[in-house]
Amino acid sequence: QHKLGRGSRDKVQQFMAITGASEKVALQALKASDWHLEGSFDYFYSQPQISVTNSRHLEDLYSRYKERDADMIMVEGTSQLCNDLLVDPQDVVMLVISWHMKAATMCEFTRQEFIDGLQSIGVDSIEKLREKLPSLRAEIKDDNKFREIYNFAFAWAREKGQKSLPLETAIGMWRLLFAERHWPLIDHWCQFLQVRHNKAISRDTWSQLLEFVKTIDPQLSNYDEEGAWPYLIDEFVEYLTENGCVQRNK
Amino acid sequence: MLIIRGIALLLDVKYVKNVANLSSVWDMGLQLFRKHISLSPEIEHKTVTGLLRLIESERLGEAIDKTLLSHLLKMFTDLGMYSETFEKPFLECTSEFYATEGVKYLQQSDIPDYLKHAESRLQEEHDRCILYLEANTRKPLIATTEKQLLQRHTSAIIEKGFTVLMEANRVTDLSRMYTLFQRVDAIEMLKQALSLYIRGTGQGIIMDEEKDKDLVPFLLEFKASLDKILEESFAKNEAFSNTIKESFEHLINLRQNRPAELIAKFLDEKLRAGNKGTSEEELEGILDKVLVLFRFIQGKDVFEAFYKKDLAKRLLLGKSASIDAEKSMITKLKTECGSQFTNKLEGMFKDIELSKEINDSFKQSSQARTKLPTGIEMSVHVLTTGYWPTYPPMDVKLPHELNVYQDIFKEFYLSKYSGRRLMWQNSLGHCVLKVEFPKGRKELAVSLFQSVVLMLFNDAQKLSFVDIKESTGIEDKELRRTLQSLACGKVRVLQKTPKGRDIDDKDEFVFNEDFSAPLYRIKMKETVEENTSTTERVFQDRQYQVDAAIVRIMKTRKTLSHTLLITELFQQLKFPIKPADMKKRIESLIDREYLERDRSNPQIYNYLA
Repeated sequence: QHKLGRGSRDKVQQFMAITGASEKVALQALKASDWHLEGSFDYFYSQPQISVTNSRHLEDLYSRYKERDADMIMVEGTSQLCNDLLVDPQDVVMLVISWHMKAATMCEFTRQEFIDGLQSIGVDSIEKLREKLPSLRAEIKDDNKFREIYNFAFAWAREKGQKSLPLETAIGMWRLLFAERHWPLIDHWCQFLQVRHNKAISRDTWSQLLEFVKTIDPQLSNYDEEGAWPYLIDEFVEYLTENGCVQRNK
Repeated sequence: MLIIRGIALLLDVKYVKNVANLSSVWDMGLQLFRKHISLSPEIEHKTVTGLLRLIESERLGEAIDKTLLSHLLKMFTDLGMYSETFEKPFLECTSEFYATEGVKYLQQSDIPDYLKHAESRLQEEHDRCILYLEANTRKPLIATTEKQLLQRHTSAIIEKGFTVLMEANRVTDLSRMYTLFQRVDAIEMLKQALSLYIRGTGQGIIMDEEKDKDLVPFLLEFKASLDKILEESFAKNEAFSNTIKESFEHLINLRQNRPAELIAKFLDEKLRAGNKGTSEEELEGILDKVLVLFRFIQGKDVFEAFYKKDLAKRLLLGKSASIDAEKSMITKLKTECGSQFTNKLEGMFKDIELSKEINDSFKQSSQARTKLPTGIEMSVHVLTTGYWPTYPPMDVKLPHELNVYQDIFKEFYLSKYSGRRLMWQNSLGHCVLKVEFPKGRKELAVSLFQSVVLMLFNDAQKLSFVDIKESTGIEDKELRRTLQSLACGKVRVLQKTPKGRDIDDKDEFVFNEDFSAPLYRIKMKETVEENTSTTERVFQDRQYQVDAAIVRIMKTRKTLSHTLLITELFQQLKFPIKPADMKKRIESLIDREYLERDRSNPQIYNYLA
C-alpha cells in the first residue's frame, strides 16, 4: 500500500471523481505527471491503454460469468471466461489476471474483485482483455511484479480456511511460476519435496523460497547454512549436496 | 711437572708474578704440552677415540677403568681442550649410539621394558656426569639421550603401548611414561592419546544396544579406573583431569537420551527394596558415583522423567529400600541442578507423608467407622497433579463394595479439604485378594484391574472375553493384557479355552480349581506395557520449552537476528538440541504468528505482540 499525504490523497479523490477511473489509474496518471492535477488529465486522456471502462459493460460481463444462484463467479464461470479468452485455465496469465483482481481464491471471483480488477486493467470487454493478454503475460518478467504475484499466489492457491498449501498444489504453482522465470534447480526442488517432505508448505517457506531463488546462485556458493533459511531449504541444500547435484566446497 | 714447578718455585713466585706477559711455569708447561699434542693430531685422535670406546663399552655393560677415564678427561679439562676436542665428538657419538639403540630396542621389547630401559639409561648418563664427565656436559648429554630414546619415538610408544597399559591398568608403567614424556614435552600427546583411548574404548559399549544392561556399571568402573590412573600415574594433572571429563561427556552423549534413561534405571535398581547386600554407606557411595555420570549427561530432562517414573513406583508400592537413601539422592540432585529440578520430586515425598496422615485420620473418622463395608481395608495415596508423572486415565467398573469405599473416602476428604478435586487413578491401584482355592487358601497380590476381573468369578463360573469386557468396562487392550497375566503367565488362577498366548474375543475363562502354589502369598506378575512414551513425552515437553524460550527471548528483544536468537537459545536451553530443530520451532511460531520475518531482511525476526 502506498502511503499518501493528505494533499495527494485529495488529488486522487478529485481525479477519480472527474474521470471515473479507478484509484490505481489515478495514481498512475498522477505519478506520471508529477502530481499536477491538470497534467494528469492530459496524461490520462492521451494514453490509449488507460481508457475509461464502462461500468455498464462491466456489469454485463460479470453477469455473463456469474453463478446462477450466487453472486459470484465460480469454477464454471471461470472456465467459460478462459474459453472466451482462448487461454488454457492452467495458463499463467490467469494467475496474473487473478492478481489484478485481488482474487482471494483460485477459480473464484466476487463481483467486486471482478469489476475492480477489470477496471484496474483498464478493459471492459472480453475482446479488450484478450488484446491485453500479451502485456499481462509480460508482467511476470518484471521483478517487482513477479514478487507480488508470487506472494499473492500462495494465498490464492490454498484452500479456504487452510494455513498452508498442499504439496501438490504448491509444486504445481512453483512449476507454473518458474516456467516463466528460469530457475535451474526447480526439478530438483520438486523432486526433493516429493521424496523427502511430502507435507504441506507453510507461507514462510513459500516466500523464503523466492528469496532463495533470487539471492543464492545455483552452485550455492553464497549459501550460508547458519543463516535463517527455513529448515526445508536447508534440507534441500543437503539433499543437493548428498546427491551430487551441486558441488559445494565448505 | 710438579717437580719442575717445585724447582722453579722461587722463580715463579718472585719473578714471574712481577713481570707482565709471563705465565707461570705450570701454565707454560701446560701450554707446551697442549702444543705438542695438537702438533700430532694422531695422538689426539687416538686418545679421544680411546675414550669414546671406553665409554661405549661401559654403556654396553663392560667394566672399565674409570680412574683412567677420569684422569684423561681431567687432563683435557686442564688443557682447556675438553669441550672442543672431547665433548663434541662425545655427544655425537652418544647421539648415534642411542639412535641405533632406540630403534633396535623399540622393536625388540615391549613398551614397559622400553620405558624402564630409557629410564635407567637416563640415570646412567646422569651418573656418568657425576663420576667423570664435566658438570657442563650433563645438560646436552641428557638432552641428546632424551631426544634419541624418547622424543623421536613418542608417537610409536603411544601407539604401541598406551592402550595396552591403560587396559591392563599398569599404574607404575603409566606413571613412568608420564614422567618420561614430561621430560621431552610430550605431555600434550599423552593427553590426546588418553582422550582417544577413552572415546575409543567406551564407544563400542555405548553404541551397542545389547549391552545396555551393563552400561552403567561399565561406565562406573571405567571412570573409577581412570580416576585411579589419573591420581597415581598422571600426578593428578589438571589438564588430564579435564581431558577425562571432556572425553567422558563426549562418550556418554554419543547416544542421545538412552544413557540418561539407563542411569535412572540403574538408580531405581539400587534404591529399590530387595537390593540386599549393600549397606547404607555402600549405597551412598554408589549414589555419589552415579551422580558423577549424571553430571556428564546433557539430556537431564530425560533422566528426570525416568527417575520420576521409577520413584513414583517405588513410593506408591512401598518398594523403596530406604527413605533416607531416597532423600539423600534428592538432596544430591538438588545441589547438582537446583531446587527447580527437584521440587516436584520432593512434592512426591510430601504427598506420600501426607497420605499417611490422611489415611490415619480417615480410619479414626466417624464416616469410616459407621459407614464402611466390612471385610475390606483400603489405603489411599492422594497425589498432587503435576508432581507425579501423568497417568492416562483408565475407566473401570468397580465392584460395588469398592465403589462405596471410594465414595466414603471422597466425602471424608472433601469435607477436610473443600474445593479440591479428587480423581481416582485406577491404573495405579493394587489389591491383596484372599482366595479360597479347593487346594488351599491363598493371598494374591494383584493390580486393581486384575482384581476387578477376578472378583467377577465370585458370582460366575465361566465368562467370555466379551462378558468380562462388558462387566468391567476396562479398555480393550488393557483388558487383554490383564487376562493374559491371569491366564497365560506362570501363575494361572484362571483357565482359558482354547489355550494360547493371545486373547481372542471368543475365548472363555474359568476359575482354576486346580490351582496350587507352594507359597501362601503370591504376587501376580503384571504384563505392563513398557512405557516407551516416556521419552516421547520428554521430546514433546522439549518442544514446548523451546517455543517458550523463543517467545520469552523475542518478547524482551522485540527484534533479533537469527544468529543471535539461536545463540541465546543455546544458552537458555538445558538439553541438547540441533539448530535444525530450533529452526522448525521458529518456523512454527512464524506460522502461528508469534513472530514474523522482517520485511527488509529475512535474517531478522520481529516479535508480534
